[in-house]
Parts: sequence; structure tokens; C-alpha cells
Amino acid sequence: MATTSTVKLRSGDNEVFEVEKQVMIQSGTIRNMIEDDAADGEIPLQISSRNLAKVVEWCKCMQHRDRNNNNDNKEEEEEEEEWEKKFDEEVSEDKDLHFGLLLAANYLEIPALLHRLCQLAADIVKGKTPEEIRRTFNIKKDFTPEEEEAVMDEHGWAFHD
Amino acid sequence: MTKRTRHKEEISEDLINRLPDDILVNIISHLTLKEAARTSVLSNRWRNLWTFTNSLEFDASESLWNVGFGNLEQERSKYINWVNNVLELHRGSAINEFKVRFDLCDFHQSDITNWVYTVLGKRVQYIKLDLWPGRYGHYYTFPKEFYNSIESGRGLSGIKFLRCLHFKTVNVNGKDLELFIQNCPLLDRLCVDHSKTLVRLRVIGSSIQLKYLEIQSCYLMEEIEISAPSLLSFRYYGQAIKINIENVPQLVDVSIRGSHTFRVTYFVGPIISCFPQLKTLELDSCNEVYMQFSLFELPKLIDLRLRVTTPNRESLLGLTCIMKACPFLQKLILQLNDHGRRLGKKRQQFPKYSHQHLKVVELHGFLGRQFDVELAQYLFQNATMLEKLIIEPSRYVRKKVLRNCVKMLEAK
Repeated sequence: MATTSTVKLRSGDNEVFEVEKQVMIQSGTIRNMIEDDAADGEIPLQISSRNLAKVVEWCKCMQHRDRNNNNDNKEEEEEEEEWEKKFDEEVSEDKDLHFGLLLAANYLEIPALLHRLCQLAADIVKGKTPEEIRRTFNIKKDFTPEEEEAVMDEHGWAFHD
Repeated sequence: MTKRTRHKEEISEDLINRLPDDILVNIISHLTLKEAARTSVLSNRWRNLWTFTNSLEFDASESLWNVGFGNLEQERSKYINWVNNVLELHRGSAINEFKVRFDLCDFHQSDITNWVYTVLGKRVQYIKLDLWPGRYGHYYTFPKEFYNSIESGRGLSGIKFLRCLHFKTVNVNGKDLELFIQNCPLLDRLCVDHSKTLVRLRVIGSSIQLKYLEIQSCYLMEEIEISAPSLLSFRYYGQAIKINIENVPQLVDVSIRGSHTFRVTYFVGPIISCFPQLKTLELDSCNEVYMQFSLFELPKLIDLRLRVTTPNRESLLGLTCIMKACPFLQKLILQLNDHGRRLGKKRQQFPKYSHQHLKVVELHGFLGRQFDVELAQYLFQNATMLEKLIIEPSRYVRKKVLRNCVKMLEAK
């Protein structure tokens, strides 16, 4: 077993984050490294420092929440809710951050974060026309009008009310 | 500044294309089926991604409102074709949830059964069959062979992944349900609503993982026996039945309700005496019920919901017995039903208690009768830490009466 209680994460732009192992075991990737005793040095990650800082912040908040789940401290609960709300807003308004975090959560294997981020992305898609979705996510339409028509005919039930 | 913005856009464009299919499918799985299928038109890359969605909810309940007697069969076959078509197109290897919501019955047995086999083959975790109201035929039942395969452990290995089963207007009997409970090691939620064949149910076994059990409107039911160490919540709505619950150390949430003639009195004593660990409790109640509380204490109860009937026009202050039994109550929600307008002649005196933890009180169906007001006043005076008192007047209350009540309460 490794002796230290922290783990050092090096971002793609060479910033080092020292975080408690207890916090980072939410990441399947890092948990495996810790279990294999491969986490004693710095762990290099292809994640920008901005995104990595956000991931670490999120993991800390979740760990804090899980630890406090049993004692009913209303004030702290409200504080955490407030933090999550702010996180959601920040992510929804900043596509770089949103997609960057999606990739990071996917790579680091943090299912709960991935779930949350996908839910937020889905919320953005909801209620939008295909053209609006394309514009929002910079998706290039590579169908000819005929092809588009054919796709719509194929799943007519989805396009008619 | 312009330079930076431009740079940012480039990154965004690059990022969306760098997201692997897995993530896009994950996003699509958070959409309704209709919205998911609509993404097929975005671009070539998105064309078939939606067929990997892990969430298949076939909800056509909205169109049910427009289905009359004449076109029901036509709409039914349209619905069935829809489900068949999507299941045929579905390419994902795993399904999280499969939900059916349409008026279907035993005429459609082979289709419905096939759906269930298909999704079980894809390691489905949550199955909901809501076939309400199931007109013109008998309710859907699983065929015998289906239960035989569960029992023999052959051919239906998919049930190992089931976590949640919800049947509405599906005929399942006690034996059928026990097969599910005993053979699905991950099953933690079971809800049965409107089964005409459920008479006796035994949920018994030390290895049962079931956490949530809900039985609703199964009007031929006679008896239920529960001994399940993981059970957290038991909810029952229906007629009076024999309930036998033991070995449920985790049970914290109980709800027992029924129609007007329902005598909840029979259960209340045994339940509150056996489970002092309860945190939330929902009951249909009358003064006879309150009296039983005076013998017990529920020190952990924080959330109490009562549907109150006052058949003898008693004072609602009988409730104080309950409040005394639950000294740490934080939330009290009362649904008041209309039975007479004046206090009865035989009045019993109830002692007053101060309630130091009660923060939220909701009174629904408030009619402004003498005993409604009496209760509101009592709570006002004795719940010293009250933060919120919500009074929702009944639709039938006259405005003038209500205004008088408000004045009276304000005066206090």
C-alpha cells in the first residue's frame, strides 16, 4: 500500500494538483492507479489545468456531501445545493468547459460527473429544432436535402406530433 | 478580444467532434425517445447514434386522450408497431429502462411478451408495464413458459440485472411475484398496481434485496407477509387486508391508505409498536387511529402525512395524541375531508403539548369549519418553532368563511 494520503495530478499545461486520495478514488482511472501502487509520483493527465481544477472541485464537493449524508446539517446541505446549482449554470453557459469536462470525466471514469454533464447537455438539446441544435453544438449538416427528407421519413413518428 | 473569441469558437468546434460516440449516446439517453430519434437528422455521424440509447420509454399516454371507442384498435396497432419497430432498430447492447405506457390488454400478449424477452436479453434494469386501463379484454399476463424459464434458471439469464419492476394493469399473482423476488438478485424496487390476481403475497427471505415495495389498488388482495431485512419502504393502498411484517430493521417509510370504508385502525397499532425506527409515515386516519398512538412513541418520525376523516364530527384535536407520540416531528401534512360542519356534542378534552421541532405544517382541503380553525389555532399556539403554515382551502369553501378564518388566525 502506498504510504501518503494524497495524490499528485499534473495537468496538460504542467500545473500540479495535490489532492487527498479519498477524494480522487471517485475516479476509476485514479483508483486503479492507487490500488496498483502506481500513484506515488505525479500522474500526468492530458487535461487542462482549468478543467482539472473543476474536476477536483467537483470531487471534493461530492465527497463532502457523501460524508455528511447522515447528519442532517441543513445549512451545509443548502450550501452544497447552491454550489451544484452554480456548477450547472457555469457549465451550461461555457461550451469549452462543458465539453472539456465531458472528456475529462470520461477519461477519468467518474460516472456521476459524466451523468450530470450529459444530463446538462441533454437539457440544452431539449425543445430545440435540429437546426438550433446544429448551431448550438457546431454540428455540420452533411446531408443533401433529399437525404434529410429520407431520414425524416424513416422515423416519421419522431417528427410529427 | 475578437481574437480570443475566435480562438474559443475553434476550440468548441474541435471539442464537439472529439467527443467519442459513447458520450454522445450517453447524452441521447437523457432525452425522450422522440427527441432522441430526432437527432438522427443532425448529420451523418448522428444518424444512427440514437439507436444505441439506453432509455426506451414508449409513452403515448397523451394520445390516449384522443382515442375513442372507434379507433382504439387502430391506435393500439399503431402503438405496437412503434415499439416493435424501435426495438428492431435498437443496436445498443444494454438498456437501462424500458417503459410501456398505453391501453393494452391480453389481446396483445405475444407482442408484449416478446418485448420483455428482447429487453431482458439486453440486460435491462428497469421495466415498467403500464397498460392502464386495459379495456375490453382481460389484463395482460406473462405466459406460463415465461415463469417456467425463471424457475428453471434457463433461458432468461437477463433477469439477473433487473433492479426495478413496475406493473400496472398487469395480472400477476403472489407466486409470480415471489419468482421475480427470489430470482432477481439485484431487484430492489417492486410496484404492483391493479392486479386482479394478486391475493396473497409473501416477501420472505434473508437474502432478499428488495428495498421498496408498493401495492396499489389490488382489490382482491387478502394477505401480505413480509420479512425482508433490506426493506426501506412499504406502501399499501387498497382495502383492508391482513398484514404481517417482521424482521425489517431498515424500514423507515410506511404508507397505508385506502378507500373511505377502509379501517386502517387494524394495522396502526402493530405497525407503530413494532417499528419505532420509522422516519416517514402516511396514513388514512380518524380519531380511533389517534387513540392508538397514545400508547406508543415514534422518536425518529420527522414527516407525517394524514388524510383525516372525522366521521363523528369530533374535534381534530385528537391529533395531539399523534403529535405527542412523535416528539421530533418536523413536517405535518393534513388532508382534511368534508364530513359535517359543526363540532359534535360529545366533546373530549385533549391535553396540549408544545411541539418544538415542528417546522412545516400543511392543511389541505381547509373548509373553515369550526374544527379546522380550532386545529390551525392549536398548531399556531403550540408549535413554537413553526416556520411555515400552508393552508390550502377546499374548492367548496365560501370566500366569506375563509376571510373570517384568516382574520381569526391573524388575531392570534
